[in-house]
Amino acid sequence: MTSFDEAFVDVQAFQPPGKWQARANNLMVWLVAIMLLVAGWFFSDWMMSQFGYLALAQDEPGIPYPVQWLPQPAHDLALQVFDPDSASLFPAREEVAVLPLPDAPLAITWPEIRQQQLQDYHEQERLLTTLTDGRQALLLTYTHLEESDNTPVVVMAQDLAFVINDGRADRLVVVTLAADAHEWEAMAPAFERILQKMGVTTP
Amino acid sequence: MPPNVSYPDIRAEDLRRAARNRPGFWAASLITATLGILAGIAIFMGWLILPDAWIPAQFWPLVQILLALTPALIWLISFSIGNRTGNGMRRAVFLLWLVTAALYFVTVNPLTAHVFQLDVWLYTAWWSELLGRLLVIAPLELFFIYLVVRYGVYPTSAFHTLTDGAIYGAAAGLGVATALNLLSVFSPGFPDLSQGVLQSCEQALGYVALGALLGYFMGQERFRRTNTFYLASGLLLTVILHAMFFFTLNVIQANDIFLQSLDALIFAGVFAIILFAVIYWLLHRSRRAFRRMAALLEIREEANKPKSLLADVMQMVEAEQLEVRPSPPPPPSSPGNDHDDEDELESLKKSWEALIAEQEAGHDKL
Repeated sequence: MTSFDEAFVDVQAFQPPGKWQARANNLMVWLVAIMLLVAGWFFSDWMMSQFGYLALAQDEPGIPYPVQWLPQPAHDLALQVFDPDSASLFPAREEVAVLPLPDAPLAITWPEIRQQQLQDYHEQERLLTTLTDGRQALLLTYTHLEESDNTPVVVMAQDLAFVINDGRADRLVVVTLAADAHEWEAMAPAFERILQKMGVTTP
Repeated sequence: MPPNVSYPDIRAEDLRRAARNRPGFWAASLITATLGILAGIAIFMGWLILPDAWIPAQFWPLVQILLALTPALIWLISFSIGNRTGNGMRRAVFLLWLVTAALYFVTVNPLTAHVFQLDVWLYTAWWSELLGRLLVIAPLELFFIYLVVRYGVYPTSAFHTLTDGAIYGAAAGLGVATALNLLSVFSPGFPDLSQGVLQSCEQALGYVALGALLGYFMGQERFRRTNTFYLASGLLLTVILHAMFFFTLNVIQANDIFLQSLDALIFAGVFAIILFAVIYWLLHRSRRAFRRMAALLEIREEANKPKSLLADVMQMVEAEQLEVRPSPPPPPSSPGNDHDDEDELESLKKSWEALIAEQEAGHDKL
């Protein structure tokens, strides 16, 4: 006769899973993990594609910018967008300027132009790189001082300068990614995404 | 309906073996958590000053490696001291830790950096970080831990108690923490030694506890019949905890709410201790159920054991239910007594058969 205690015990529960049951359990784990990772891959892809594009000319590459950033029109710039979450007096930004092409090589003239334009300019790095379509570009990293509400702010910035043809003449395009030096590290992933979208490769 | 079933596959000694505890594991985890928190408090209070400037440049790589390995070594050494019975297990735990750390560099790390490109988008916003952890980092790391344990020790004889799952999970988790610590200490943004100690402890505490939780589910699945979704649900729960833990840890590190750098370490320590307490309680319940089942099986086996006639007679003699008398001397044999002898033999045979019948009837009643 079955004892009182035994009547309430699920005996089968103490039996290890059979070979096929163990395989089914393992398969379920694989399925769940793969489903999560596929979702993760789609999310990562979506995150990488959260950009708007500024078209400068036909058959020329568009300039990517984060769609969440706020645009602010400026008369001498083709595009200016700010990071709305930036806490600094000098919010992180992306600017695109289209300028006449200088006569001398870009790698020499553009840093000189910047030095004349900006206060307390210090060059950090000067690199020659290529874009997605293989065209040459200059990547210039520097710091300078900016007055914002009468408060000096140390700004760190990167200029990506390259040449396009707008149908009439060759033009110099300069994409500037700038942020308060204290915020630079936090903003680096966003800036890196923009450069990556443009296919910037450094040697 | 009572489960009056035969279960020849379940043996009491197997259940008792599976229900065995591993006190060394709990002691090692508690020691690691306590030492980590104490080191953090000592650094915070200024009792422990790590002299970055005094270390010659050529010794820096050595110091950095030591920094990354220390939490794992503390756990492994205290586990080895506390678990003296199984040499094989100590070897398996050490190998699992080493293999997990080594494989991390060639599997998970390239995937996160090049396939998912986390560096580019993870910290764009708080929600991208949370979702990135939930959908990429946590599943990748925990599935990696699962695979190492599942194909490393799960099918072997080294995995033979319910607690072993948590132990091997913790060892594999420490492997991941060690790999991440090594990547962190050799990264350009590495802070000073004090911050390095804190970060190293936080990583180790998080991963050892999460690995143990995943291992707990694997241990249960290995020794008892579970639902097909049981283990997968365990992985899912651990993934959610992983994402929430490291997301919160990052928020605390970024904000320094109460005690600056110590906040994150205290959070990691409390998280690890609570998780270990929960795992201990769950395992304690399981082991108790296994022991109870083993006792039931032993009672049943005892009841089903066939009794020998001699054992019954001896029992009756001991209970003084049967009087033992010295047998009378045999009568002198004579040729004229042949008929009497046959009668006596017949009567003995009958009484023997009656005794056997009586015994059998007694067994049926039982």
